[in-house]
Amino acid sequence: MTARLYRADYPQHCRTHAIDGMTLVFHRPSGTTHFLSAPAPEMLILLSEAPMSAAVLCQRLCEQLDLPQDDEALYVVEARLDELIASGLVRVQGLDPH
Amino acid sequence: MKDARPLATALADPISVLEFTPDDWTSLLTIARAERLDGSLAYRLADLPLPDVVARALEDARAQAAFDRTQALWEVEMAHRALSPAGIEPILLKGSAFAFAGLPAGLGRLIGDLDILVPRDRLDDAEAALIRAGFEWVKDNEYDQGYYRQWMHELPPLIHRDRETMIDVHHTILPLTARRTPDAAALIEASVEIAPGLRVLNAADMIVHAVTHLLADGDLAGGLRNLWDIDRLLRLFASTPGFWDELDERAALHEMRAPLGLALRLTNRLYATPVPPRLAGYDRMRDLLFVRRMLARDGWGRPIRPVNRLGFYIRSHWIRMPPVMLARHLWTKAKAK
Amino acid sequence: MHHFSVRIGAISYRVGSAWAAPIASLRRLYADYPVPEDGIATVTARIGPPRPWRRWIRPQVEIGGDHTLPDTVPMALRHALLAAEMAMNMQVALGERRHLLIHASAVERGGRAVIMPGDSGSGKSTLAALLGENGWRLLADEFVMIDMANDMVLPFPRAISLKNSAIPEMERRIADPARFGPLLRQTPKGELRHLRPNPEAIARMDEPARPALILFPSFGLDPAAEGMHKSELFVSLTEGSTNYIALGQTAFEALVRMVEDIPAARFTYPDSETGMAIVEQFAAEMGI
Repeated sequence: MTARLYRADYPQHCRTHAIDGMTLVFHRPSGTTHFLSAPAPEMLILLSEAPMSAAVLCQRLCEQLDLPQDDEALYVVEARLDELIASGLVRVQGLDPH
Repeated sequence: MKDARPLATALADPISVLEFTPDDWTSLLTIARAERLDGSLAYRLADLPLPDVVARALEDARAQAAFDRTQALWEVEMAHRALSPAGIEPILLKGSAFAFAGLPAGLGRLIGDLDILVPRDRLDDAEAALIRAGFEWVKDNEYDQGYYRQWMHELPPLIHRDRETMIDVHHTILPLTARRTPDAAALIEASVEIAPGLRVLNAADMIVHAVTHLLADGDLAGGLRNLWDIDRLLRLFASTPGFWDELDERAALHEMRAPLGLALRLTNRLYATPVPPRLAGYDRMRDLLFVRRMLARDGWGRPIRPVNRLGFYIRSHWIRMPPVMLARHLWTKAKAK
Repeated sequence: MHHFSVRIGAISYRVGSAWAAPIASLRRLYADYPVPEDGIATVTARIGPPRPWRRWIRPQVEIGGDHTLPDTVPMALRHALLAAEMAMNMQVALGERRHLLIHASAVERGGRAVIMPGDSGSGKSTLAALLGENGWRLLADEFVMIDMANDMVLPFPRAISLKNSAIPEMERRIADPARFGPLLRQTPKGELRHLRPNPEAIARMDEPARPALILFPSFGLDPAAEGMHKSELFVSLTEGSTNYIALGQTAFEALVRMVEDIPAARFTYPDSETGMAIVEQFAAEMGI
């Protein structure tokens, strides 16, 4: 099974503004406004540095935020990834395992 | 203003507006909005010395057009992301194609739903990929679904559950019930890649498609706008050597030679588009009916000439469906109310 | 087509009607308003019968104009003035692309504006109407327009639609009967009567005001007030705006400046006197 790779292009194409501990994002290509809470902005920054799989992303994120890396963390990362893909802020790059 | 003629004239010959009275301006803005041509008009008049209030209104129309364009290009991007894993390269149609390809027809043009063409044998895959990406059926009752799948040239329309945008997936450019059958395989074969994984129709086919859209599909609603596309495209493409011959051939291939002639005569009449008489053919009495229908809007933006309009409504169904089917369709629709 | 043209702040309307009476009512309601700049109305609103025979037989009024929504329900001819006002509102709600629209009322004093966003039923219109008769200048009762180049509130002092109990309340306070439209009974919104803003609001319709305070009123509970998070304020303002999305990055940046610069709070109030007192109290704290 080929792992899917994800990538982002952030904060290019965006206006961002920190507000109440969240990040307010205006995404120019889609013209939509998003409210992002942790760890979404951190995920976007990591995925903008290099495309990576959900597992690698989870590992990097847990190191960065000093969190235990377990199944629960991976579950959170995957759930947020789905939202970010739906919003268009993250896209899949690499083969679909299906 | 007694009809939409001054709008057509303003588009073709912007200088004509310099004679306008205040009331003319109010009517022109209203008619342009009703015909959804205010964005196109705003770009056409951009360089003229206009009264300040009019200049501001047109600036706002350009801002709206810029927003429409952003949204349309984003829908293209998201459709591309949805379809490329399945190896499908959609052919963009109409407004989205004009905007993506940077054609003058796209300047200020209203862009509604995303229309794409895919090979008929990839239709099921395209549908599955779009549903995976968050699209849902607009019409999920059995009759509508069956009707589309059996007789139409497109899937039942899909709407995105979050973005609330619509996509129409076509496998050809006229309903299967229409008496003319364009060659869908040839359209796809001759299409042109404009970005990795994204295509548009070639120049001649783009005109043929615009003609089907103008005359065979719909009751001529939005006729001025569809005809304006044809004018803009023809003025650009005509400079390519051999274009008119190719257009002639492609129209014949798609069984659209006579409708093409009519569309050329109409765009010449309304927008003074230069067209070769060899393709356009001779003016006919009937052309005037089409012109009247397309200009049928008063200075308040209201539709006028209802008798003429009704005739065209029946005609549009007649072209698309054989009479027995038409009766069945209208009966099912009536029962649904 | 019977018609008349009027300028209300930044918007120059042409209003058309298949019947003469609604236009006559509008002319009375908008007496003393200016005509469009250069005589050119750039926004058209109209009312007419949904089917030709409905002009005479059990007449019905449909609202229309440059921008329309599908499936608007036709109204009775005796409510034609309301239909005309709704048609005028609809043009701004759907068509305005120059200024950022916030669904709110607003009043001004000393050049500084209090913006009061709220759903219908929050009492924002009534509060603004009352304050407009008590030392404040009415800027808007339904749509606050923000000039995104300088973040100023542009006045849009159209006629205020008073509903139900707000009608006798304003009738008690305003001596001049000419400022009121006809009383409309059994409209979809209950009893309704339009009120022309006072002469000062009309005379100064081209004088913008600097937004200084945002207050979200809600009617009918014990008096109380609480602060708002900036994020909550941002979301509330975008949800109440019909053109935020269409205006793109410019609107995003303008709203970010607003939520960063302008203090905001919610308050509830049981009656108009208390409502006005709470607004005055907030204003005093801000030195307005």
